[in-house]
Amino acid sequence: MIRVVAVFFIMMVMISVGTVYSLKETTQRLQARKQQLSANILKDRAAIKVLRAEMAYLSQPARLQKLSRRFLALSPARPDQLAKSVSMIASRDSGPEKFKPASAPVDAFPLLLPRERPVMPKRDITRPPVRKIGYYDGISGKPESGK
Amino acid sequence: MKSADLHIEGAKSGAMEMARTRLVVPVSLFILGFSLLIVRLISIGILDDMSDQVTRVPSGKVDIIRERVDILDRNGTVMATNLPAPSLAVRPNLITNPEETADRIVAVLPDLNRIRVLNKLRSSRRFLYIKRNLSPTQVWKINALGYPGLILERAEKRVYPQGRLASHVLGYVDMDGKPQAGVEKFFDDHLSNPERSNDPLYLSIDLRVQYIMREDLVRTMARFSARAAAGIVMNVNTGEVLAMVSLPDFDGNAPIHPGSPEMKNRNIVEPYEMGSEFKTFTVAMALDSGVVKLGDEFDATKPLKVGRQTIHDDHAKNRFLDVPEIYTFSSNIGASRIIRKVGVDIQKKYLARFGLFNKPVIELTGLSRPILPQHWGEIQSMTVSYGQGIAVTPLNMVTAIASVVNGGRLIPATLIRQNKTENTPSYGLSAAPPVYPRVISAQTSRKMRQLMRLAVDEGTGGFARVAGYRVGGKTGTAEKVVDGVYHPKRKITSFVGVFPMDKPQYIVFAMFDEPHGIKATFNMATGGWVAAPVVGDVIRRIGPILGVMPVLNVKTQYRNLIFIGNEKK
Repeated sequence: MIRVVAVFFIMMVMISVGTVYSLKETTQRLQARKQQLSANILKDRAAIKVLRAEMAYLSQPARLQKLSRRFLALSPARPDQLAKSVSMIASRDSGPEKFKPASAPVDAFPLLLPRERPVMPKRDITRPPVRKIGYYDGISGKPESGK
Repeated sequence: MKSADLHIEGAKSGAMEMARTRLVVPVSLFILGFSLLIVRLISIGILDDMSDQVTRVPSGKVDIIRERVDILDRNGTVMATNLPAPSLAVRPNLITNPEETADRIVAVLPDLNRIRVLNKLRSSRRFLYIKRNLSPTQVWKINALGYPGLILERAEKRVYPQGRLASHVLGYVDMDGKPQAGVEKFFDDHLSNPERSNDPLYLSIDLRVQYIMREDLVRTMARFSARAAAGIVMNVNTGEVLAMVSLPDFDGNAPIHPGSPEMKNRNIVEPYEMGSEFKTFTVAMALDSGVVKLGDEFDATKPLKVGRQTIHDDHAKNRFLDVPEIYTFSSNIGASRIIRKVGVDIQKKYLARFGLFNKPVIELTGLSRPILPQHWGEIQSMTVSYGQGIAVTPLNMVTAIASVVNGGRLIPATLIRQNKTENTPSYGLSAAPPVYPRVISAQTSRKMRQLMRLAVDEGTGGFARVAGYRVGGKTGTAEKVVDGVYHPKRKITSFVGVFPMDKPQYIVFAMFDEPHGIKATFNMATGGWVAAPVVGDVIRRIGPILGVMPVLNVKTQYRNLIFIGNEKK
């Protein structure tokens, strides 16, 4: 009986010693791994910093302008090239130049399920309010018309 | 475990047997233990990743680059950063062949003197620096030389990737890493705090706007061979400065010469007599105090004599002018007559409210106080009414004009991005908006906007007109004081423009020091000829960038009050 108990306890001791050993070993290894990872993160962060500085240097407005002049057919935007919505461009048609949008704005034609009827967003249909300015408007400090 | 050749008979044999069997247990334990070790040894040797065990890494919580925090513009582009720039040092006792080593070093770093390097390599000292701030390529080449006596010491360098572009805003740091000017100096507590190395400083500057402003100023400065120039772009509703340029400027990466003219930020350091732009304040205070109405007419038929001085008009109309005409045609006589009616006390009260008696407010060091008349009598009040005898810094001017057009609140200028972008959620906890002191009523501000619009549409600032952007503004031309008298040839010409005038968003200011007229401008070097086109061009280019929607065909108010041809429209 005693012998069985002794063997049992010896086994227990051996197993627990083994477990403790392997736990400690694993922890140490994880620790080292963690340390290495965090060191790598710092190293990468430093590298990112260098790259950001390089990017800022390469994208200096002066340099971009020079490159754009050389390789692209872009020129500064004219005020008449900007519009808030498609309907505003339509109202400009009467001028000497005809304006055509290069592409339809994405958000004006949302993708819809086939069963639904496409609906134009309401805000795009309304025309900008026409301002009427009276003869002595504003002189007496009245709020400006059209607002 | 029973050995055949050794047998002991008799009584002792039982005990012996027992000892033998007992020996089995520890021996088997030992064998088990050692076999475990062997297995582990093999597994380490064969299975494990070598690099995990070999590399000794420094335990890292602090950033590798940590001496100074980055400065970014409002869109996150790097304006100032720290980069690793190791120093090359040498331990002479580890150098075996100084001649050859020196040759190789000079081949990598051509700006070094070979004899000096050789002396250092032969020195009897233990440790010597050869060169600071090596570039990454140079570091690589030095490492490739493979001399154990050469040491690369960790060090950092402040780098300004944009070069000269925003040098006066940023300032610079000296050789020891101490900030000497600009934002670098003002925010040093933040910038030099290693614990905030991941918390960059966001400025309100927009580098694209800054570049456009600088490019236009540089071009015009060269065209009119001016001595210096200054320019500001500011948001009139938040006080954020999007561009601040002072020419000549410096490159923070190059060696700095403190005290030289290019180190001076003219926007804050030097007070200038601004000229006619002051009429904006004169008219604003006259209307706001209720002393003068828009339709009131003043006698501008002939030059006005006050004491020993005579006040002339540059664009003389020689007739009675109403307030919009005085402002639009920039009549000195008219402004003087207005201020005579308004009185010195109200003038002083309002100018103080506009912040023109104090230093400008911004996050920079070295701000200058305005220069005011020592004795403020009637004559002085008249000259001040059209901007003579009072000198303020351009930033003073811009802040005050912004308060005239933004609805009447004096909002201090700032170089820090206000966190109102969509990137920063407010979590429903929007702080109460700051209360700014009211300078003039919203009503007066509305009238002033229309007057400034008129001055561009019909008056002296015509070259600042931009289709669609409803620019309003005022020119300013002032003679410089040379040896105590006004010099007719040396001028400070400026223009302050605001757009869009129906709902002002940005103010654009340009100033030139001693521009010289050229043939294309009929030898004129006034604000309308020199500075107004710059402001117009800047607005034309930055308007789309800043998302200001152009509106065509907006009518200007009060045009009916202006007498341009023969009759009022």
